Order: sequence, then structure tokens, then C-alpha cells
Amino acid sequence: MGSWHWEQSTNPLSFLSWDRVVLVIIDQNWDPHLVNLINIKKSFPDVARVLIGAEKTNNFLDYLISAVNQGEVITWIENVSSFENFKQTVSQIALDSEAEQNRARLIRASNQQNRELEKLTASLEQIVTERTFHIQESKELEEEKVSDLRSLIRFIQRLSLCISFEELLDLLRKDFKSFHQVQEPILIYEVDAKGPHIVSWQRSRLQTRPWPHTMDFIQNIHLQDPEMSRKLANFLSRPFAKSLVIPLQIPVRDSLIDPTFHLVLENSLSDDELNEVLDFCLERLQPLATAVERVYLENELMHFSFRWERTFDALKDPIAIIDRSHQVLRANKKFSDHILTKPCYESFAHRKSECDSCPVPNVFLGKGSGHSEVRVLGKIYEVHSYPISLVEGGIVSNVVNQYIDRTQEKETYMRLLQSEKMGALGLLAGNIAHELNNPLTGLRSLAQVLMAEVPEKSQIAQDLHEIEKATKRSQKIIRNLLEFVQNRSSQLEKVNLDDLIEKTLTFLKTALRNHRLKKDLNTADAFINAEPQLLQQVIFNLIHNACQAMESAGELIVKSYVENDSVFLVISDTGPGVPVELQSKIFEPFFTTKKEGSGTGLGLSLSREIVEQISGTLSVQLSSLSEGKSGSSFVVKIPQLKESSQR
Amino acid sequence: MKVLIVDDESLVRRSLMRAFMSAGHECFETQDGIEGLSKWRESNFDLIFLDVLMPGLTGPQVLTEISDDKKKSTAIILISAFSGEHSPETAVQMGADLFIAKPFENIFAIVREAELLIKRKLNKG
Repeated sequence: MGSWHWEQSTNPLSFLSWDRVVLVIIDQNWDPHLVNLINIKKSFPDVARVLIGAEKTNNFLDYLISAVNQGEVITWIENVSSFENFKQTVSQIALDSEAEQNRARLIRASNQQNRELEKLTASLEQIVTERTFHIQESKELEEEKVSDLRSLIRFIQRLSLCISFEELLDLLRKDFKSFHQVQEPILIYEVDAKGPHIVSWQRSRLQTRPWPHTMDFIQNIHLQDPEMSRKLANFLSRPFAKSLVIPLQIPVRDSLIDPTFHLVLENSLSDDELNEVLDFCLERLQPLATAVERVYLENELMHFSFRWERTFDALKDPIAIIDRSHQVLRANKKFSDHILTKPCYESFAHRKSECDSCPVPNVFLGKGSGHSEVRVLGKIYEVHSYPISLVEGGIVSNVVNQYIDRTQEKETYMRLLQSEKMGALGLLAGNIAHELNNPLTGLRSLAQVLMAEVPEKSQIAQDLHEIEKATKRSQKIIRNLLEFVQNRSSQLEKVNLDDLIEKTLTFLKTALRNHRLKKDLNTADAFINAEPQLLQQVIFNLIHNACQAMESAGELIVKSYVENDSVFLVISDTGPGVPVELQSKIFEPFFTTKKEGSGTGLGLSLSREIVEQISGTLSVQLSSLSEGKSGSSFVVKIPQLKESSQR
Repeated sequence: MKVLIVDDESLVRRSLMRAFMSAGHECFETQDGIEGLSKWRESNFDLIFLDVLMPGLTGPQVLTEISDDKKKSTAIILISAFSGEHSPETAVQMGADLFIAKPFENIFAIVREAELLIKRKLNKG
């Protein structure tokens, strides 16, 4: 602290302004009216003010009280005996005062700091509150954004499920529900040469109708389109509010017509509300346009697909696409009318396993396309199998089978072949017959000559006669054979059935040698109009079949009779008989129970045809058990030729 | 009469020969067309039986080879086992007088027909 510096002055104020004064002592005599005191207090409030005086002096108490009240003296000291004591006292007071002042200063400072702290705190709190509020606000905004986004996403998801323009519009309506000033949306589109169409609600049902006005594609959104409102009011027969027309732009593609789509929002929005709706629309515009394009393309595709299906079904050949296990994946109508769950050999060929000459396995082995013949229900198909590879240069994944019906051609070919064979046979037979004729002629003639040279009733003459008869028989056989195999031009003739039967039987001696033949021919007087050669073939075929049907020695009955203007021929055998379910099948061309390769299977179908050509019928039945025998009976019925009809 | 039989079947030749010989005619035989042709050229025959299908020359071929004189001075009977190919008309076209199809029903009937033919054609017998 140092030492105090004491000053005495009548004008203390000047001192006070020079230096730091700690304490000032005021004397009542010097400052009776406390003017200085008050000045000092005002000007130098930090300086401690002390009063000096005597208690006993007049008015000192009042003076003191006033000094305290007005001047804020901190204490008073009495006049003291010694200066030393005075000094001590004052020092003490000064010290106290200073301490007091320090303390006061500290308190003030601390208060100040407290206030500032409080202010800081308050401002911080303010900031926090504001921040919290902002965060809250942001959060709400975010939530709103998220919710909007969610609804947009939902919209887009639902868009992807729409498969028609009507569904699109319905979805839009639901989406716009939050905008009360917007009515149900309307879609006007034009996708083909049929002209524009309008999709709108009529009595709470979506309807698509032709739109009677041309619809030029507009480039921008028309916020207000009175023209459109007018047209729509006209069309819908009701007043129409404002029209917000939004073009949905889809990229121009290579199609006959540029498809255009316009969305019309009937609304009674004010200009301010319009912005919100526009924003809403704009967000959805792109996905909507994309969805519209997709629906449009899908529809196109469906049409193409439909046309393709139609074409596929219209193809005259059955076609099927199959996989490795012959499972049918796709097929046209000609292949099957039903849903396909079975392999091709089951559903088409009615077999339990792969057809004998199926070309499919080779195709799957990568040997390229192939074909072969397959028999199905009496029809012959040429199956062409082509490989499909769904992977670039990869293994064969599927096979397309095309079944070309070759039944007719095959039949014709086989018949031709048969006929050629017969022709060749005929030629051969002819040659042989003629070769035989020569020696037979000689035999017969020589026998005749010899008979003329021996006595008429002699043994030799009789022997020679027998020889001659034998040669005659031989010649007859040869004649029959020649008749049978010669390819003469078809001529209907008046013939006798029994005759033909007898002739035919001569060729069947070998086949019949194991069986008992029972002949019962009763049509000697009846005639029929037929080509003898062909009919012989039929009889031959039937008898031969019968012989073959009987594995062990059996009985063959050949019976002919006339009944109701028809001539009947019945050939019965004691074989296993033809089961009922096969009775109609056996007459189908190419039907044979023999292994593939032996026999053409044309015999019965040809026979039937020959018989039917002369207005007859050929049928089969199981022999009656009443006769104690079972087997098959083939019945030929031919209309009788009446005597009055011409040859 | 002098009869020539040209046929490759021995029994046919034999039976014809026997039949004609027993009717009192002179008979000669050859078994193919070439021999037949040369024999016909060498001698004069009243009647010739010509088989159609023979080795060497066929009956019709012989007829084209033989001179017209010979054809006029001989009764020609064409015989054939192949009834389809030739008919009486075609036989005549080829220069034959008669066509008989094998098999022969009655050998003696043929002899008689032949005699009648010779008589008609050659004003003999």
C-alpha cells in the first residue's frame, strides 16, 4: 500500500481530479452546507467520505445525519488528541473504506458479470429455443416432404401395375383426391388411325368413347383452355369448369401414327392454388408419361401378340414347341385345343413314350434339324424338328415340331407303289404265264393227237384224256392269274360273284392248306356290276387275312347269298376276332397290327374303297357264338344287278 | 402240203407236226426265227406256222425280212402265247393271214382251219 500522502486543502476538488484520492475528510466548518460533500459524491463517488467533528458541537448530529443521507459519509471521526492517533484512525478508515470499496467494486463487477451471464444465458436459451423451433419446423417440413415423396412413390408403384388407360386414369383420380378443387381427371388419347378417344367418368363408371374433335399435340401445359372446356361441356352434356390441359409427351416411335395423350383436369382453382396443383402435376408428369407409353406399347404388343397368335393358330400344320423332356411349351390350335400338360408323344401321338422314329433327340444333340415319319391314329405325319437356341450360340434349348399331314400323299404314293408293284408283278406273271402256256399248249395238243391214234375206249385213250384235262385246268389257272394281275383299264362289267370267288380260291390253295374251307355259295344266278379284277383282289385280301388270323388250324367259311336285292359275301374265320374298339380302326389306311415294315396296312382300306365304289359296304363283326365258334366275320354287301339294267 | 413250223417250244412243234402228218402233210420244223427264215427262203412251203416270240428273229421280224413273193405264195399263220400284244388285225397288218392264240383248244380244228386257209389263199387242194 505504501504510505499515505496527506494533503490539506481548501479546494479539495482539484486534488481529487489529479490523483487517486482514497479518502476525504470533511470538516463541518469548511463545508457547513455539505455542498462540497455532495459535489465530491457526485463527481468522485469512489472516494470515501469521512466527517470530522465533535459530537457535542451544535447541530452536529443533524449535520451528521444530513451528511450521511445526502453525502453518504461512511463514518465520522472525532477530533483526536494527537495527529498520530488521527493518522492511525484515518488510515484505518481509509483501509476499511478501500477494502469496502474493493469489495463493493468486486460485488459490482460480479453483479455485472452475473447480469451478463444472465443475458448470455437468456440469449443462449433464446437461441436454443429458436433452434429447436427451427429443427421442429424442419422436421415437419422434412416429414411433409417424405410424406409427399412416399405418396409419389406409391403413385409410381401403382402406375407400374396399370395395364390400361382406364386404370391409369382411375389411379390419377385417387391421387388428385387431396385437391378438392380438382374434379375427376379426363384422358384424351390417339394411338391409331381410328382417331382420338376420350376416357372419362359417366355416372361413376369409366367410359372410353371416340372423341369427335381433332386433338393436336400441344407443347406446353395450358393453364386455362376455354376451348377445351367448351368442347368437353358439349361432349359430356353438362357444364364444365376450367380446363387444365397437360400434354403427356412420349417419344415418337416408328409407328404409323404418333400417339398423343392429353390429360384434362377440370378445376375451379384460384391462381394461387394453381401453383400447388401444377407442382403436384409436374412431379408426376414424367412417371405418368412413361406409364402411358408402357401401357400403349403393351397394348400394341398385345395386338401384335394377338395377331401372332391368330396367325400361329391359322397355320394349317400343327406346330408345337417342346423341351428336352418332350413337354409342350407352346402349341397352336391345330396341335391341340386343350391346355397342354402332357408331353407331345402323349397329347399328340397318344403314346406312352417317345415315338419310334422321333427326330427330336438328334436335334437336341446338336445335329441340326431333322425329320421323320410318325404314325398317329391312322394318319401319317412328316415331323420336322427345328432347333431353337435361346442363348446366343448356345446349346439347343427347345425344339419346334412341325407336323405335316402326309396321309393323303402317303396313301396316294403307297397306292401308286402298290399299283406299280402290281404292274410289275403283272408283267412278271404275264411273262411266266406265257412261258407256261407254250409247253401246256404242246402238252394238250400232243395229248389230243395221241388220243386220235389210239383205240377210243382203250385205257391209253382214257389216260390221255386225263392228261388233257389236267393241261386244260392248268391253262385255266394261268388265265385266271393273268386276269388277276393284268393292269387292265377299269371297266365295270356284269360279273357273277360266285365265279369270282371260285377263281380267287384257286390262288389261295397254299394259304388254305392248313385250314378247313367251307364253301357255301348261293349267288349263281345273281349278277353284280363290278370290275372283276378289283373285286377279286378284295376277296383275295379278305380270305388271305382270315388265313393269317388263324395261327393254328382253323375253319374258314366262305358264304355267299342274295338277300333284299343285295349280294352278300361273308368270310368267317376262327381266329381271335377283331375287338370292338378296333373294328372301325382296321379300315383306316396304314392301320396294321404287324410290325412297322411288314405289310402296307392298305389292304383293308383299299378293299373297302373298292367295295364302296360299286355302292357296296364292307364291315366286320365278331362271329356269333351261337355257332359255337368265335372269330371274325367280314361282310361284303353289293347291290344286285337287275336284269333290266344294261351291261 | 408242205408245212413249216417255226416255234421255240418243242412240244408245240411236235404236236403240230404229228397232227399235220397224220392228216397226210409234209412237215418241217425249226426252233428259231433265223433258221426259219433261211429255210423258208430255201424252199417253197404251202403253210408256215410262225411263233411271235422267239429267240433270234421274232415272227413279225421274219415277216418283214421275207420277200413279198414268198409271203404271197405261202399261207401264214401267226401263233402267240401273248394274246395281249397281237390280235387278228395286227397280224394281218404284219402280213400274216391268220392269228391263232395259244393255248390251242383243239389241235385238229387248227389243222382243218389251216387246210381251209391254204385252199383259199393258194387255190390248192
